[in-house]
Amino acid sequence: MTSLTQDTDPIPRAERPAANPPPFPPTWALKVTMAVTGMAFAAFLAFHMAGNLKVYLGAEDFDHYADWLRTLLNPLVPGEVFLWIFRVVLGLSFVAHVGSGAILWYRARKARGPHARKILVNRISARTMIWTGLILGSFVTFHVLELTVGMRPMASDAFVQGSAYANLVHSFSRPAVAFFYGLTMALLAFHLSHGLLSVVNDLGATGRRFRAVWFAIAGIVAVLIVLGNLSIPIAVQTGILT
Amino acid sequence: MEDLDSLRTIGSAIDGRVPDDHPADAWEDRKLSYRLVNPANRRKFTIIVVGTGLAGAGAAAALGELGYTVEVFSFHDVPRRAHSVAAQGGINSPRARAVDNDSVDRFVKDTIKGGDFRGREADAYRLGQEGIRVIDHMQAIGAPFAREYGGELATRSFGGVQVSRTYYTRGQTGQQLQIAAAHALSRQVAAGNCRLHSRQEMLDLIVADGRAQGVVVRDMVSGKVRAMTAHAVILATGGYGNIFYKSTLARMSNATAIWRAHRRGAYFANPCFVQIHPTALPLMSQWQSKKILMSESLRNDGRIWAPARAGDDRAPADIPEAERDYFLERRYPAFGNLVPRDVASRNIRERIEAGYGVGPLRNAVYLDFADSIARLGRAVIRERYSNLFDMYQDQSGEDPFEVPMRIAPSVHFSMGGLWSDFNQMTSVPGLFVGGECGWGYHGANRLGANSLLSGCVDGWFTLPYSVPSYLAPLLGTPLLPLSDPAVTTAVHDVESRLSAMLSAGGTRPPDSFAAELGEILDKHASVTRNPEGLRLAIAQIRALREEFWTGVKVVGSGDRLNQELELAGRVADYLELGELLCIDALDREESAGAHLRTDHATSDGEAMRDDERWTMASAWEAAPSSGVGAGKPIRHFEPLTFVAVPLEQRNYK
Amino acid sequence: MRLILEVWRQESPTAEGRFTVHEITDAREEMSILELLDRLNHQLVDNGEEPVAFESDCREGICGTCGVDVNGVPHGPRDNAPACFQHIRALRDGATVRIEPLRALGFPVIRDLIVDRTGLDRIIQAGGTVAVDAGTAPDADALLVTHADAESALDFAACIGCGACVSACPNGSAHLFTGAKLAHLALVPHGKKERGRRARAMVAQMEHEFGPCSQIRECVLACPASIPITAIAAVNKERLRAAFWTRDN
Repeated sequence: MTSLTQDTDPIPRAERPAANPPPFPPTWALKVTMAVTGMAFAAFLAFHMAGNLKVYLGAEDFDHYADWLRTLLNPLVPGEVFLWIFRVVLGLSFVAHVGSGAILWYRARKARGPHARKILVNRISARTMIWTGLILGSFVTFHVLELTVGMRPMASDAFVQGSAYANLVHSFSRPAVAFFYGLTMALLAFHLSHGLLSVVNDLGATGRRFRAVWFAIAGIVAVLIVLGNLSIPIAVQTGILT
Repeated sequence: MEDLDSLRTIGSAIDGRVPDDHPADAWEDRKLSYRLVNPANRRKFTIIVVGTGLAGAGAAAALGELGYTVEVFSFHDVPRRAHSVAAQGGINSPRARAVDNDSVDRFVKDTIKGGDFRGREADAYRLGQEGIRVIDHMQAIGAPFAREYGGELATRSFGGVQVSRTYYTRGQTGQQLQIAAAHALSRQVAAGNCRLHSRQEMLDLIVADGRAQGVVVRDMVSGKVRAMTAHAVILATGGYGNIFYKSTLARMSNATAIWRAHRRGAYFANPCFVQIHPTALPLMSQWQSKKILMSESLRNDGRIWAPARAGDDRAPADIPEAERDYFLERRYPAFGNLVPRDVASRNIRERIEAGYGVGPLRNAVYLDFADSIARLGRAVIRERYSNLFDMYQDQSGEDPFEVPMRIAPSVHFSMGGLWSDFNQMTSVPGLFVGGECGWGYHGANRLGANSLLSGCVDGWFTLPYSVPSYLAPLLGTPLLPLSDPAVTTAVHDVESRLSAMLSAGGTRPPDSFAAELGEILDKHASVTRNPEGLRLAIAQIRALREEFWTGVKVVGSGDRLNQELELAGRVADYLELGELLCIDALDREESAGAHLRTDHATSDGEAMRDDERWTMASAWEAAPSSGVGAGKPIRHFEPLTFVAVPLEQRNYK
Repeated sequence: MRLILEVWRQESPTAEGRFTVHEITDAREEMSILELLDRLNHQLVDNGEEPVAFESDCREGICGTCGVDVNGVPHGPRDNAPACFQHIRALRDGATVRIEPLRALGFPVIRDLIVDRTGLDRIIQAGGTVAVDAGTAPDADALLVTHADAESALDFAACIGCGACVSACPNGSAHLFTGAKLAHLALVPHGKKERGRRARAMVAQMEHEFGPCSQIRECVLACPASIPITAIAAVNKERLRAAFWTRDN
């Protein structure tokens, strides 16, 4: 207990807000990026799944659909140009989604401090986003190499560029691949449900009715995507598709 | 009389500096006569504000907005926590929109009458006149007042009045006003006009050249005792109800700032006027750390009753209507359950002490909502009181929708406080007060929802006028240097008190002294008082105080965060203030408002004022330490005159 | 009731902390967590030991001063209740209760169970205010506010600033706090006039000291004022709005 003067030892003053901007890129912008790219993926997945179901119409229909995809918007846009635009957009979204996720994950770890919170009651899907995300990411890479690029050993030995139906059936005939695919779809259910539910908050929808409708649609879309996709390897494994 | 003379000396009449004209014009005239400070010069004045409740945050923010340099002190971590936050029911304002015949004059009449003619009439007028724009301002800075479906502000009625002038935000009006005020202060902190010093407890006032020029504070984290000097000091440190140990006040609320100011020369007005709130939760066990307030607004829709037969221990639902005694409605047909707080408390305590109490400890009466629920429906009652009902259910385990609430009186508000003139300046020039730590508006009893108003009016709409007028002639006066003997002495005094407590070497923790003092005061100086009891209390408090300085045990050291040391300092001051409270109660030989002397009561127990002798405020000067009258506080007095509201005996029957 | 308390003791912000173990043999069901700590402190002081430093003030659930982590949950086991309203009756006789400070990087420990929560106040300082000087406001009755807006504003304004949301969050995020303030002020007449600049300033300050929201929603369970999850949507709504609507309002 020593008395000091105002100059040498002033009475502490409450700190004021920071004058400099917060770390770049801002967290809110990263969340919006996650939400927008995530929704793009969800929309892509919905169409992808609908297309995949054509497999049940037989090889001819399915291959025709695959060919249509490559020549989409012909003749307005020649050749595979649109397909490539599509691929580039999806690829950039992928990079943005993963990049934002990584930065947010790092910031979250830092902000929780040295005493991690252990007891948590809800949202297993929220806390596992980073892990389901990582697995999904590696699956997507595998999936592209397997069925689009046809790189072995990811692709089946019988891979032939352009024979989408045959490639698919051959690939899923391998039990390990079918199993990995099924597992990924289960994880996708977690990732997609949390992602689609989070979108309303990330994009700032506060209206009660809008949120309720969105939650319903999000749930239905997630379930349909996962069930639709999941049915294909099962159908191959059980011999329904050959 | 000789007996009283051994306890106190009678001083002289003091001047409240109220303008001579009709009290309704006093504030307008006074504002016109106030000196002003040029905007460019305002920054040159430093004003210390202690406390960040409604009055403190308001004064600091308003003076900061005007451009003064404001140094704000709080013992909390952030301004929003000040105890104004806990007020529930609402804030009065005589905006008089509805056709229930309200007006500023009626507000003044209610306030003065409610205060039993022991407050200052001109102050009550200022309260009403400025109260109108308090609502506008608080609404503008973010308080979301309840609204009617047409979009207009909603009001409700409160105890002691027959009009509906209480503005509210559910049962958390204090919280919303406090947050709004704290945010306004934050805006000035961010702007640099106000400098906030949190976790600093004021332990002394610096008086030099007859002016209040600074404060001594203890850094509650590092334990460092430091001084800061200024051109004026505003205390807005709240009431001293915690002197009763268990009250509805927050645990940290204390009297140290005002008591230290009193010891440095500020007069203390009417310390015996302490309000006992009628509707608190009864104590349910010894470890219950405080009493919890249930807003008075509940009395709008709840009916208070006790069993008609003493000792009736049937469940409330099993007591038929005919065997219930709605004693407030029976005794006061005109006001019924909405009688002022002092009347309600006294009657409830009387019922409990006469053996009609209910609950396991027989220390409560019922507050029953069954009729209102039947009349208005559950939804309406829920919207009005949801958080209060939840809080009650949480504490008691009972659902007030099903079982009537149990309530009991508890110490709640101190009408007494540092004496100030009409400009809110104490007897020490340059020392101003705002809110509950002052006196003035409420007389001997405060009306519900007038305390939030007084905090706001003082902070936002009185001190920003009166403080500059005091400062204006001081232009060019430098700040008192920290090397000044007045500063070093004050710092040294604080340090010696702290080390005396740390090294007392006793065995009793400070809390046990606080508990014992509370017990003495509760027994002899709460809802009813008598001379024998008060004399006994004074003797007991003196003995306890003597024991304190040798018998207290303060563990830990002074050079860091030490909550035992903080408490010990507060208890030491309570032990001095407690004695003054009893001396004042003994000295005031009449009953008025919350102060009921059994030797000055009618045959049916109602208060009997002695307007002949006591139409005045007692303003106590601290006892001189030597010479004539050593050890005896000096009671000065400010005669009160009533022009707009003629003196009359209160009658709520 | 008999309870074993494991309490975090830490001398100063820089000191190492540790748990100390104490036994309370006469705990009672109706005690709150804070009263249990009072009881412990009585016991410690009687033995000449320094009491556990912890904060509390109103003990009516409104000031937000109290806040400890009980068995890993801010305030205590019951959802949406502050520590002063958390009663021992929720615990088993003979149970071990672990009491530690509210945890987050943004809340450094000052001593024992006391943490520094002024980071939240800096978010307020940055923009959680309304730029109206004393005495300049127009008649509040002339500014109509619908009943629903007033009630909705109050739902958000009910925040007591205790910091439980930050501590409950595995990310140390202050979104619920910030969003409650943004949503409240966006609903009141004067507050609306600076929605844009407020959102930019408050969100920036929030991002300085607190983590991102992953919508784990632990905060909503911990919040003693029951601030709804839409407060989090409000942060992004107000900030996104400010990104496209670049004016002050």
